[in-house]
Amino acid sequence: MMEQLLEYSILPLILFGITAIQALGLQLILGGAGLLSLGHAAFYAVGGYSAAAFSVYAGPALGLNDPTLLMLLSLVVGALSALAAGFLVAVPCLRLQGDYLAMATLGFAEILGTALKNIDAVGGTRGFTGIPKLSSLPWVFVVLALVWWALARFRRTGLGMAIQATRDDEIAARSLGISTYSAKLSAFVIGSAIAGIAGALYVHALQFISPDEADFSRSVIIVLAVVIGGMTSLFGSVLGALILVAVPEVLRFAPDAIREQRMIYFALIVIVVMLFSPKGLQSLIMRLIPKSSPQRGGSQ
Amino acid sequence: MIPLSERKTSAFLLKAENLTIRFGGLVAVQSFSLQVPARQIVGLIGPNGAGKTTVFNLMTGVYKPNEGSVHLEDIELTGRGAHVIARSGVARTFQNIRLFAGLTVLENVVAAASWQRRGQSVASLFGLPAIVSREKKLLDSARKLLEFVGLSNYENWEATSLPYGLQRKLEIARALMTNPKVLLLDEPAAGMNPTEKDELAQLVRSICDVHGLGVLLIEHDMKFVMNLCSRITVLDHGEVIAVGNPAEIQKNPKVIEAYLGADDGSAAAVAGGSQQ
Repeated sequence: MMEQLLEYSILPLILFGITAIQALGLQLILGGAGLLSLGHAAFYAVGGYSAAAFSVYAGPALGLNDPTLLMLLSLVVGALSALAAGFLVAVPCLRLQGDYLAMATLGFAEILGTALKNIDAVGGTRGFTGIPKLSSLPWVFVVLALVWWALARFRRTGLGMAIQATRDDEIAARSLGISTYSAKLSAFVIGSAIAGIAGALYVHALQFISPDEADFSRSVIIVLAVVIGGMTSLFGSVLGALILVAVPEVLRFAPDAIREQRMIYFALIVIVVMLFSPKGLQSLIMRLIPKSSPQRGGSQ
Repeated sequence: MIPLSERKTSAFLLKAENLTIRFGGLVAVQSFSLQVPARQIVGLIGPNGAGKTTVFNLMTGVYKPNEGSVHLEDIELTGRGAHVIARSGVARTFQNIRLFAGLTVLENVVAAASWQRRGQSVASLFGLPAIVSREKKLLDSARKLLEFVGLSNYENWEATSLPYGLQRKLEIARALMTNPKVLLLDEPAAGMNPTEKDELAQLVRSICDVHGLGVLLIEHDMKFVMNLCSRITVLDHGEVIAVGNPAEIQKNPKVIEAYLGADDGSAAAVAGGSQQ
């Protein structure tokens, strides 16, 4: 019984870890830089497909047999390909004022999905199969921890501060010598690269990826994770990912009629969270924990 | 702060010549010229809507002038991006306070050093030893600036939860963190009580005397302006109507008329400014 439960919980845990890494990447874009990306899953798919193509085609060609080395290189390939895709999408859009980035990322996701369905080398509509099993639950959680740690430290760096300053007030940031364009561009490409890392982990854990992973609904799930958890917090994004993965798992035991309406439950959760705790679930939890620095935060 | 010995001594730090900007058919600022020498406080006054903040925006690159030029020492700043002008050594504060709401008081000041830390982000991410001591120095100078403006006890507060007067001082500390040669203050005393205004006047004076900066300030409080500034430029309807020292400005009939025209009692304040 215990063994079955453990085995059963491995897939949801892997999915949670992957979603959490995706959400952490989007948190930097959405909460860190204040940019709306509606195509985060597309950059994830770019990373996943590139990493899979690398380990399926390039790996054997280069004579790489060590699975750990191959996985590490796949992560690099996934990150760099998603970074490059993010760069191509963001460079023209960020020069414009307003929400062009949201539209462009949406369009990019649609184009990518259609393109992937028509490339036979990566499986077309049937999806990319036959990917070697290189990653596992420990891989996912170690990378999640590393990404979390790095993003937490990144906030204190010069670039991290420039990104937050740009989000809060562009005119003030520019008056202090910050190039707001490079700050936004950096946040976007780093966030996209993190999505690519999640993609590389996913394809080598499930040994499969389909064009549906680039779908708009996948991007919405990641946006929801960040918003429900609390946009300004890394912990919030991980918490949001946990909820978005846990809700469908719990509903698995419910009758079909209830189970199939999961988007409605997500919508309800968003409404309730926004009503009672606009800064997300993490701020609700923070309020329950006694404050460590009492002088901070006069505006409650 | 850059040590004084390393500063170039030229007659004027910041020089604007014949600045003109039109918004559609409206000429917001017409042939505006002004010089800010080192270690001096220059005032820019005028009735509401005269174009004072527009002049600041022209000098700091928020707007690009249709005509005219801006120089910092020998560097041409005309038409360059706001961040490029800031890096050259022109810092400013804002009339409607623009602090970074998501950051603490200390972080607001540290954020102003982002540009100086360029290229070090990877090293600082992994806490490499070469960077650690530099970052410590950076924090030290941020704390010193907070002490300088009297905000030492607030460094972990959310910036926007500070009282209004302290928010203005934080903006000054943040601007100074960029190591400027010239500081532009847009209504720094607005919303302050008389005690806070006196403290602010002292602060502005020591920015000039101790740090050796040139200061250009917009202010409606005439007593504040008349006591602090060595030269004053008066702007009305986008045009300069008078330039001179405080005593000359107070006697200038054009200035008195401009303020009487505004009919808000400020004319009496101009005339009576220094006697209070």
